[in-house]
Amino acid sequence: MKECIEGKKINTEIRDKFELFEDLVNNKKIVVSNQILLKTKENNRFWLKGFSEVTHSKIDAPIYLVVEQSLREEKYGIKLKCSTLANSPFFRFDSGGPAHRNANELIPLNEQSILTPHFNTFNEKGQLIAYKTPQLSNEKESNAIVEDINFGLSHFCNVANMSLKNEDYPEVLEETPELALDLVIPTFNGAKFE
Amino acid sequence: MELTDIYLMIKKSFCELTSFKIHKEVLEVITAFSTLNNKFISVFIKVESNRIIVTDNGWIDSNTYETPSFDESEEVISKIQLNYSLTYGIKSTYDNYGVAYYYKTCDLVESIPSIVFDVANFIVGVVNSNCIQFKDEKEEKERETFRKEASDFLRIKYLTDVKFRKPLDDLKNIKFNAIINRGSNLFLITYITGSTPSYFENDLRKTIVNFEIVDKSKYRNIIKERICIINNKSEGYQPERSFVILNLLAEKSTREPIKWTEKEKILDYI
Repeated sequence: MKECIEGKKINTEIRDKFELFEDLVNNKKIVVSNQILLKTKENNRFWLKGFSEVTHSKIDAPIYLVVEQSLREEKYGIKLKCSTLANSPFFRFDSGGPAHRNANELIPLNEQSILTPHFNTFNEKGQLIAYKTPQLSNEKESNAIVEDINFGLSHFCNVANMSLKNEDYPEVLEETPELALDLVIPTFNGAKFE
Repeated sequence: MELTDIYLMIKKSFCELTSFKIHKEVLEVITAFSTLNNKFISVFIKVESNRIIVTDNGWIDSNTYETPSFDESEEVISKIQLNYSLTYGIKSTYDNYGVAYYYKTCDLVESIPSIVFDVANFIVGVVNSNCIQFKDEKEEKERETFRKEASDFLRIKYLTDVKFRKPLDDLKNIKFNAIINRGSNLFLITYITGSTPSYFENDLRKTIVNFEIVDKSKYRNIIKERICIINNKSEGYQPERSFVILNLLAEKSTREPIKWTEKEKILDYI
């Protein structure tokens, strides 16, 4: 449920259950599946999608780690969802796509634009906030994360305090390997311009 | 601080908002234009031998800006989009996936900033129009609640004799909230409500027109009554303001409008 307060989109579910949100993000979580298999999304053929269950050390609620790979663009997204908290993902990473504006007059204007790759989280008011980790601010590391979904997943797990039971990170696999990870996408996907 | 210094500071900040990424042969410019859902607009530029292409990269059509989906707003949104595309001279094409690309081309490198400005303005307008829910939720709720209450009331009183949201056989385009069939007589009922006087008066006008058109129906002789039930508990009910239209309605109805608080009156007529 989203409402608009002073022109800013607010996720009221997360605002109203902010303690649960903080627990979900910060406390140790275990990714159940060693491998996350990407399959074509049923309702959107531009994306491959895979997921794993996640368990939380203290909270007994269904949590899912979702990985999505675009077939149209060289980008992917990783997110955490928990329906007990909110309908929309509560923590996510985008390797590409539009920059987010952290609209806050106390932040210098030129620093309000957070380019992808970036993480999205929420503040206690339920406002969506984008940020870069030190790794994402480093050009070389950032490029490596954007180019390699498995590198990105490890980084995501690290930032979100998650791992497999054996402390390793899960691995992303494709159902049909030629589809995504080594995909060569033609410029503008072959669109013809007059 | 001098006033000109403020200007220079603003100019510098605005300029520094503009950023870029290189995707092989394509330049992505992250512009200083931002949307209602706090995304910055990107435009994608490819310089070919004989022309320059500036496009949204299919981001509007593939909903990369993650705007909400308000299906019932589609008509308004397409009008807004058409207006923006005409104003900024935007063309469209499709990629191999059938995704629409909005774009402009130019011949001169010097023209690039100008067409980037056009394409970015277009994208902001279209993305923002998708962020707005044009439907009035309060009004929808008001209408739906009253419709349900009134229909429930009629269903209890008239059981299988009453049909809801049906047209007359020969006037398919005009639906009445309820049609009661008693013996060989038909009774037409409309509901009038509104969360504002303007919505309320729209309902009044609709009823007037519908009752008038009934005269063209082959059933006009068996239509015994044309009655409306008025939600006098709604915020839009302001008889002093709407008296002209209410008088017109009285001419087209066979009975005084039945106020919801006196709804049992309908039993005197039907």
